[in-house]
Amino acid sequence: MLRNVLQGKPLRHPLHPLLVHFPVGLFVLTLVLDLVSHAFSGQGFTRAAFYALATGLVAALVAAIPGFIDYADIRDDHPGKRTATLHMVLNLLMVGTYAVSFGLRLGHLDAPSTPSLPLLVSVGGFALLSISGYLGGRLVYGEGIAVGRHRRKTQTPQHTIGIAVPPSRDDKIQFAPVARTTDLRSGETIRAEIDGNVMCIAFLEGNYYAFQEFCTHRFGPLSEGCFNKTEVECPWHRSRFDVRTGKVLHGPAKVDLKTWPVEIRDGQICVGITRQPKAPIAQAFFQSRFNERSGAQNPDKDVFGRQSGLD
Amino acid sequence: MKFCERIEPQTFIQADEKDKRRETPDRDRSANQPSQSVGGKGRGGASSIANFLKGKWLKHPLHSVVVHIPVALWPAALLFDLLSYAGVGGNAMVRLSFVAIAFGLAATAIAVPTGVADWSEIKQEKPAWKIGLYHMGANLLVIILYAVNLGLRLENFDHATRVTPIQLILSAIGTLLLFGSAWLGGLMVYDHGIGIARQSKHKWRKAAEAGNANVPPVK
Repeated sequence: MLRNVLQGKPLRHPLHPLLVHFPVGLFVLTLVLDLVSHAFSGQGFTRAAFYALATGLVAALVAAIPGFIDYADIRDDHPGKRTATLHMVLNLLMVGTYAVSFGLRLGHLDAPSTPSLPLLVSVGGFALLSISGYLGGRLVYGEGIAVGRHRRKTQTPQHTIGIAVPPSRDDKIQFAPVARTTDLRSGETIRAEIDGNVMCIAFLEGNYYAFQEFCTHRFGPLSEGCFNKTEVECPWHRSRFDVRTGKVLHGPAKVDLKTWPVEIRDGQICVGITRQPKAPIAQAFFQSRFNERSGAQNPDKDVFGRQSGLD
Repeated sequence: MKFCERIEPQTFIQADEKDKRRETPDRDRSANQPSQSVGGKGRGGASSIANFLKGKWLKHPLHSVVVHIPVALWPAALLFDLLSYAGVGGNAMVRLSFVAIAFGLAATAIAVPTGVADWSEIKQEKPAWKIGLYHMGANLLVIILYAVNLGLRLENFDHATRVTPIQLILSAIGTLLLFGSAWLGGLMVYDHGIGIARQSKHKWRKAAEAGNANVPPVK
């Protein structure tokens, strides 16, 4: 419950990016007031800058709390995890720098203008803030972290399960065990990479479904999506798909999802993989259609070859 | 879907047809290219200013960067007003509030055009378009409120030790309205995905391709 509040779910807006407006704005204001205090010295702007800095520090500490929660929520192998780590470290450094500047100002509140040492330290803090703030924005706009998260009712996967399928006859479907059935509660998902196929395995309405992880619009993470019966909704732009068939139910996506058969064997969730040479996606796409249609299954006779022209 | 339909009539059997089929997507793409790039040029050529305002150069929407200033400083000004009303900080607090409002207003000079540029990219039939409209309307009202507020402060900010009640009330109303409209702006991003992966879609396409996913044809 507390976790949901700190993630901003009741507000339908993550709490951290909302709260960070305050330290960001106030630290910028501090710099502005420092400069103003030099332009109009002896008019009390030194003290005003100090107040802005102090308020900013308090706001930064408050904003950090949901920040840590959001950080812990990012999947370990998410491409944005390293950016998030850097964002956190730079922010801690930034707050430390501003705290030093705060300490240096303490005896000089009635100086006609901000003394140069705390001002310089502030400028250093501002540089750190600019970089880490930008990285934070990239986490949202580039990596899609926390986007649409409030619609998800269950915990999102914390890592990707990697499974290699042993080589065999190319045309034989093989069922690879991924997890125990007890690992998944209703509405939960697993993110798995089986033989190069990145997929989401979901437990919905008493059945298990495996479908591609990436939305076919802007490739949002469906394992972090929300579910309604046997529909999955992409957390990013709300494309909806039927998980049983992979069919698009609602745009903006236009292309159907890939799906895989799932069977339960000895209490294990097993996903059926037809082994194919790793190939560019268009090939795999048309290959699967080709197989469906003609029953021909020789991967060497594939239509487009390795240069599909799409990469 | 379109991509699939295009392939539909063809049968995937004869090897000598291989090359022909292989060309199909390329040919389609090159056939589409001119019209698309004209459309692209129409938008991009209209102005590189539009691209600047959308933050393409930064790989980050510019509007959501700049709005940190007013969104933080106007509610902060209310806090400073309340403190000055309580007798904390004296004239420095009144000045602080004045500069906070003034700098927030200065930032709207960038926040407004960048916001309009972002909004113009949203299709009208999407729910986010309407949210954007309300967001814009409410923000205009907030800007006017703070402009009036600042005007009222011009004569007393350099000597007063506390703000006047009317200034305090204007700050309070402005802050409440601002919270509402800023929340709408956040809803567009976090609930409707506006601007999400707009500038990183190539990276994500590569990840999807590497994961053997179905992907739409390259535009």
